[in-house]
Amino acid sequence: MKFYNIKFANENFEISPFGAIFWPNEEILIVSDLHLEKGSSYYQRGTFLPPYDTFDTINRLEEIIKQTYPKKVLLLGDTMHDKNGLLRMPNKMKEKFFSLLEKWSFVLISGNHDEEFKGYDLKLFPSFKIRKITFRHQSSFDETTEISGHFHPVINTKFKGVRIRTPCFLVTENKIILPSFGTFTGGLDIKNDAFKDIISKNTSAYIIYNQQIINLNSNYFSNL
Amino acid sequence: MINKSHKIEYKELYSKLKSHPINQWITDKGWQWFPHQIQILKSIEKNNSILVQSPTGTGKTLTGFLPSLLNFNYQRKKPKLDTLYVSPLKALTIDIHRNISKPIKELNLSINLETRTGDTSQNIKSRQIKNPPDFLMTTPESLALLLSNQFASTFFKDLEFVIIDEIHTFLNNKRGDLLSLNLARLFQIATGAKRIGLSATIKTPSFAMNWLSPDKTDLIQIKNEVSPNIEIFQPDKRIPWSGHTGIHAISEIYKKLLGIGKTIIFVNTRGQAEFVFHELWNNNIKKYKIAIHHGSLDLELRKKVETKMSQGILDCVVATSSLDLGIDWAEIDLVIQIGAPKGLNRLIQRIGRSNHRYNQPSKAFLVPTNRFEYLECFAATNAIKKNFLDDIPVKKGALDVLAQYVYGTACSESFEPKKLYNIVSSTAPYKHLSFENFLRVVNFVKDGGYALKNYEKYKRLKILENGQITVNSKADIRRYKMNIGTIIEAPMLNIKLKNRTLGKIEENFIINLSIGDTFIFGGEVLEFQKIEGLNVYVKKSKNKESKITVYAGGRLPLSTELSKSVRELIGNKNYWKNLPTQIQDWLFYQERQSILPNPNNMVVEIFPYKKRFYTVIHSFLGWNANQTLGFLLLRRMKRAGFRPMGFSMNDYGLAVWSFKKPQNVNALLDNDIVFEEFEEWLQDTPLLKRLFRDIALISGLVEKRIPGSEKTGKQVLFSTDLIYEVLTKYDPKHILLEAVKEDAMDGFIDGSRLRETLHSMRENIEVKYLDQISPLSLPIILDVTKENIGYSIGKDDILAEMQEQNFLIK
Repeated sequence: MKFYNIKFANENFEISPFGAIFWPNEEILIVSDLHLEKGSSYYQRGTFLPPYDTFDTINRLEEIIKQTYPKKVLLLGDTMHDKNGLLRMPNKMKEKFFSLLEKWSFVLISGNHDEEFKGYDLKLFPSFKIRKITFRHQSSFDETTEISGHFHPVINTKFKGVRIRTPCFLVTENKIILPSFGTFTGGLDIKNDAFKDIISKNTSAYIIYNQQIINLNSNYFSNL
Repeated sequence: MINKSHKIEYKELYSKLKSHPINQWITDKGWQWFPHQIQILKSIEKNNSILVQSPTGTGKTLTGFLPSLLNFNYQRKKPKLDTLYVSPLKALTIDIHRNISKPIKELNLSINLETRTGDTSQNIKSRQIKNPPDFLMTTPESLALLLSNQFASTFFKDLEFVIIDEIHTFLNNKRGDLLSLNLARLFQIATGAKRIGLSATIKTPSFAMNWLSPDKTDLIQIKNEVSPNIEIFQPDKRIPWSGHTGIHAISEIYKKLLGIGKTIIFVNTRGQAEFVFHELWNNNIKKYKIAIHHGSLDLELRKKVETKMSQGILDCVVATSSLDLGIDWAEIDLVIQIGAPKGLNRLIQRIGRSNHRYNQPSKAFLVPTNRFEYLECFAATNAIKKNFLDDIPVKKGALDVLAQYVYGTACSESFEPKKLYNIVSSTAPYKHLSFENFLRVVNFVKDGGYALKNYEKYKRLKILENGQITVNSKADIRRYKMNIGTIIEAPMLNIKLKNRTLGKIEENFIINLSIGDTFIFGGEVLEFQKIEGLNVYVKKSKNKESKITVYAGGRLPLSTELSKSVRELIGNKNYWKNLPTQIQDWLFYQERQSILPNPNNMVVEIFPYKKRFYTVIHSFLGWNANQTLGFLLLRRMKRAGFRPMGFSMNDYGLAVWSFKKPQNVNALLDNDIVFEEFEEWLQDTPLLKRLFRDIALISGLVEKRIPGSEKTGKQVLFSTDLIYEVLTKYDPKHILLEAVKEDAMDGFIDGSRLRETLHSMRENIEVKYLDQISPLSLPIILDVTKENIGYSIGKDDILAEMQEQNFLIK
């Protein structure tokens, strides 16, 4: 799978069709919104979703790590789907997840659901700054140069009669919003009002389609 | 179980008829009993199950209720449910209630007659349980809910008669599957009840008889002796090659309304209904009262139209299949069908709406909108004259419906798996279900039935010490009740004009609009403003014409029988003389230049056109199967190195275009394509995700309604896509994936029809290489450019094009 190179804040970044970003100069891998154990949270309410989402998410995380061999991995929050997620996670999965955390240098940023890491010897950061770029869960919508997640942006459109609904990266002059990485995470259409502060004529969207990254023409946004 | 024998003697019923006030009522109205109404009294003595098959206007409903009315114990002390009536539509249930109430009220009979549908208030529902009416009229969904209650066994045990109306609408769909299962359980409780099925005329009554009861069923058949009077629109202008608007005929249609009385204009899609209604209003110089009726319009608006119609206030209604079923309007003098009829049964039913009197000819006016539709209308008219009917395709009982039923049964009482299996496999749709698959469905209901046993703590069903299975908690019962029902619609949004709700529209249509785009709905030109939650906000447009005229809404597939009749018409010159000259010329040119299709061949034409090679297959398979064949051929032609680019289709044929000239066409169309490429394609196609969404909802895997919160259709659609992907990756043998594959064989993938046709045609493919486009191919290719249905080969090619064009949208 090919990475897609972009410039952001005068730095080179590589967007991966896995739904992650790599910062080659710093050798940092950035991933957001794993929502581990989302399937089992539904199960508790009596909806028996297939119990394979955590397995799949962690496997994909491992794969992108092996592709990039990063010095650091930044998780931008909502790593667990809810605060009891870790309690429900099957032991095998837990072992695998924690061995990944040990083996690679992880920076965990807290999201909306990450209190459950409390009992573990893990440090959670509300935000994290590397050079002039701030990493946090939810964008502040101010002038800060920021990379964040939280919104799970997706594009929903039709091309040549074929419906395309797919996660996307939103990139403006000073913001990047990552799509969610978790297998069972849905998304929010970028036509939604939640995105109105970030989307302008100068926004670019990079969509994941058929295991490639495609730059969505900015005409799409001027028509929104 | 005690088998109460309900002895009903003909003599007794017949003598009751003579002395019953209803006899006088019929005489006073100047009517007389139809022979079949007497016949059912005779039959009910010996048979536990009777199918009454008759055309409209023959007092079918009264026939069904007559044994109940005569056998009824008017001196009863305690209230008990005597007769249960089930119909496919809420509206029909209410209409029949009104019809049967009439004699009961006028004659002052002491029969309590009530309805119970989704609209019945909770108060009345609980009162009905404590104090049951004598006759209850309901729908399959409400019956399923009643049966999932713990009081079901006492409530139903004294039933004498169960009447299933419009039984032909239940024979091969999921709703019918659910009803069939619930009837099997109902008759386990009401062991002595007699079954009466009422049906329109169908080709193989034995199919409906087996559906009604696993035991012997008696058939009472009334034939309509009078053929309908069908006229086909003769244009003086050029007949369009393609398109479906019927604009060339609007002024003729309007003239037809003059002095004729009441008219229903049937069309095939909601978009077409909007278009025709709009055009008629623009031409309405005589100020006729014209209304529109289709499934997307708001319920209140539809009810208004229905009431006005039955009061005889309206001159004309433009309608889709929403008015197909038997709701009894006042006198309809003429039925106009715009567009091809698509099926014989449907056309007969629609035409039957004009004139509800027995043995009087119905009057119909058919308006084909393009050349192929002319052939279809002529073929249909000929076939109806010969009393031909469509086959009803056989379908296996759906596994998702079975899951819903197992869940519902567990809510009402504990069950022993083997015993429940015996009940299930006694029904016609589930006759071939294996015990193993039944258990897999039970396991699915219990905990999802996954290969990986991750979920241990909580289960929906529990196994009792005696091996019986029951529901785990009250919460699980509530969950079931919130989600009952098998009719799944595409995600719909409400159309809001200021504070007024105009109706519902497919989300997929709206999502492609930009702000300011105009479209027609409810006869008005509306301008799209914004979407908020489940609401689409619009304002009235100043423009008279809309930018986007058509939205999908109910495409009807061409029936196999009618497809055969069309090929007979094309293949036999003797039939051509009644066709308009333009159509005759068209066929003569085809004969001279290429080959004529007929019922025993499959013509394939290959010719260069616009720098590409076109392969046109005159399959007459219907839109859905042609689309599937298109996808499969793209794969196979790509593999063979012909570099295919895309395809287009209509009901009659399929056109694939490629860079290289295809050779060895017989190998391309070998029916192993339906196995090899089909399996491959199934892995890839988004159509299966759409099927899976319905299956996930029906089977209860995900919920449309969680108590207290209503998910939007959009969310449901997305999350089921994810589930589908995960399941195919990690649990490919899961029972729901099996359900998807079975569904794929019918409906919009129509694999069964494709498989059978390719098999039977394998020796009779006639290939013709031409220098230019052939007359019969022209409309198929024009359909593309006009309707812009271009399909690409797959993700690779879309990708290539997207990159080439830098993904320029609009």
